[in-house]
Amino acid sequence: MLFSSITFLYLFLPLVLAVYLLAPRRAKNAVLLAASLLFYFWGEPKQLPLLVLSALAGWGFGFLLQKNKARWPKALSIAVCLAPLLIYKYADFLITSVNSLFGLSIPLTNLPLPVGISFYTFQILSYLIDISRDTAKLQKNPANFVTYIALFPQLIAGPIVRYETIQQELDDRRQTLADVSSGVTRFCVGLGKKVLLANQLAELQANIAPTSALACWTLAIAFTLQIYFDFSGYSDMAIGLGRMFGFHFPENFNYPFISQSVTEFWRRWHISLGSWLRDYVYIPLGGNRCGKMKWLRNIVIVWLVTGLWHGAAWTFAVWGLFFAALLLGEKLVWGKALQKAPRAARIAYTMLLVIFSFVIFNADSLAAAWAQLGGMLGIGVGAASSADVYYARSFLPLIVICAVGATPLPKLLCARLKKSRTLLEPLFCAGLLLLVTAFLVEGSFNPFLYFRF
Amino acid sequence: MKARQILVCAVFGAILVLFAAVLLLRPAQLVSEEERRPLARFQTYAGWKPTGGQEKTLSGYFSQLEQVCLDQFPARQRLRGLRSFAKFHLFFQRDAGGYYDVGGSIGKIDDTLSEAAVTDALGTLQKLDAGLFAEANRYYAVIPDKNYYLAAANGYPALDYDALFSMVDAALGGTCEKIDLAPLLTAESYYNTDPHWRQETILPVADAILQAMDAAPLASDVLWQTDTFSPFYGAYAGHSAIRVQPDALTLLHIPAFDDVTVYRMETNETASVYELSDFENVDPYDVYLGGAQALLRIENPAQTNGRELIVLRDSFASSLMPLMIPAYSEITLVDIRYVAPRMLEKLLTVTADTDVLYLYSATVLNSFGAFMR
Repeated sequence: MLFSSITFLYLFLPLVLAVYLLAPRRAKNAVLLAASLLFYFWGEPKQLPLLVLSALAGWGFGFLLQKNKARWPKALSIAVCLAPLLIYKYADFLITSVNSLFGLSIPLTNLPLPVGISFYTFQILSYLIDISRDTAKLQKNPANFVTYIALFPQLIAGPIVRYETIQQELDDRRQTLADVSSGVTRFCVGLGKKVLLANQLAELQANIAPTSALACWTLAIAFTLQIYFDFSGYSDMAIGLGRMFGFHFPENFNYPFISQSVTEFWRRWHISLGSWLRDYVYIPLGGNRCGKMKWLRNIVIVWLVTGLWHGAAWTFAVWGLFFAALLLGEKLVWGKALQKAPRAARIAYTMLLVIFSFVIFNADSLAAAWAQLGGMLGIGVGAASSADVYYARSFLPLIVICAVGATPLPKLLCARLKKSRTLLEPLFCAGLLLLVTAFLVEGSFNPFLYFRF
Repeated sequence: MKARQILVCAVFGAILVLFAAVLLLRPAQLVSEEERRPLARFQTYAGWKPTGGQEKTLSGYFSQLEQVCLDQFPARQRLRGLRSFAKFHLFFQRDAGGYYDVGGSIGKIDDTLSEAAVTDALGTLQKLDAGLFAEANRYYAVIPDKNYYLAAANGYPALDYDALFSMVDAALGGTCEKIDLAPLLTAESYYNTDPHWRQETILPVADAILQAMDAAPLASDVLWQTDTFSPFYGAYAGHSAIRVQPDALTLLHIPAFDDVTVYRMETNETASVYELSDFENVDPYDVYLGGAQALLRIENPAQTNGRELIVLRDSFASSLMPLMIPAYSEITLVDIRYVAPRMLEKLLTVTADTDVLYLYSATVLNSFGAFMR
């Protein structure tokens, strides 16, 4: 089920909120668990057992890891919990790569990728590693643990909520008026970002093909903005819904498009994934407290994992390695020079590289990525067709709205207005909700980009 | 502070609950008159039959329920209108889902020439032209769609009409006489809310065809009486949900139409040229010769010249043909979108004196698989 669907907004959510509010305190987790399983079952009925079994396996291994601090239980539990992700997501990628490399024809598994598997697997792993490190408390109640893993606000597209972040709220939380109210506003803002901005940018991309320099640039800019508003919109909705139910999820985005370096960009983009990989991959590998060659190896491994986490394709691997190269470049070569450049130049430098990176990210193949990147430089394509000019002009105001919306400016403005006008926030939420509904009833493009990860 | 928080929660909750209650409690709507389509309705899993060769799965059933919620959502048409309004006035886009508004006239962007589709359609016509109609007097005319006059002139992407017309000329020009309609029409020849042309503006089109066929009287020589029906909201108004002034639908008629018989050969029924009750149909344009019909034969006892015309046509001919009735004893309208061309040999009688007109809009020629096999 999508947050940005009529069924979620007008059937599932009011029903779950009502039952949750009426339920006694001790039954609230049960309500959330039932709602979360229904939420997942609606979209992925066949994959629900895998989710539940994965969660139960994680819960069971927690006991083992608490008692036995040897290396093998940790390795075993991680291997078992990681196996479904590796099989479902990477088996066919591996087979295809081997087939093309050695000219073989090993049949593909054609297993459908369960929605949210990358997110919930990482949550299970973080729990197990934290238990083995004694930084999290063992969850003895299996229902509570499955509730944590399956919690519908963050189940399928994050943020990746670590167990230690919500372990206390899982056992004992309070729903305050301030939390519910701020959750509602955050949810409406996320909904607006997704439906009013990201979905419309997707419409633009459906109308043009990368056959001219203008089209290549328009597509690249539109996709960069779309993925930001799509994913950060989802994160806003997740955080907002979490607050409505008394949870406080971590922030996942912090205005990444105002970054003044690629290094800073990754401190502001998909923060929960970045910090997960830092704490559970980079630092255990030795981080930067080792020799230069090992450090370089660690950087490459982390960014390869980052790329492949997003998708089982060489485009994602190259995308990750592209960032590895940029981060190393900033650390070792041009970082100091960059710091001396004017602020606007630093932001332009970052944005340009980020836009290039998302061309690779969004391409069906490396060849398509090179073709579009070449097209952006005018290689092999004309300047613009009349249709390209039309669509670029027609969507220019939306792109400008999105560009401004990606800065802290709207938030600052809203904060000022909120102080002076009591009615502004409720009217804003109502207006957004109605406008989003108006866009949704048409039933046009709506999938979340990050569902495929 | 607290008042604001209460208001935010109350407003949010009220909107959710209000829409949910109406969605669940209101009787199901059967049809969207604006979108001209049946609406999805709730079915139990046992009673649900997937369409389009889909397997019966729970996922498919849940998708169907999502569609039901979309279709049955309260105030759906108003909300669709709000979406179009927001696209134009909040996001300053030049079209809303492909529909644009030029001075109150709605057009639909269609700028991709499908050479395969046009070749396919022309192949079907060429086959008939070389076979069944080989002995007849053959003519062809392409009806430029509304975009021909509206799109490029107002900065919207447009089809390469020259290329399309050239393809038609190359396919039919060797054996048939061409009737060029493009100079006879303007943007005002079409309804503001619908893709079709207005009957009251196409007398020059009827004249041009009749002149080419050497038939009389010309449409402009007939003393037409008019009846007007309003409001008429055409297909584009419903599909786009753009708010514009409605059209008026005008019927041109003469007293002799009372004696004209229209045989709807598909259903073996007779009707009159204009069945006024059809104005109440989902598509009021059906008032012209009953709308979409595979085969129609129009007999005009007032014209005794014995001339017969066969028109291979789409919906545009429905409002044009009444203007040509005075010149012919019999007109047969064939819509090969609904009847297979191979069946025509059994259904039509063609002689060397028969006039045959291939009359298609650019839109139909450019739509792949428009004609039956």
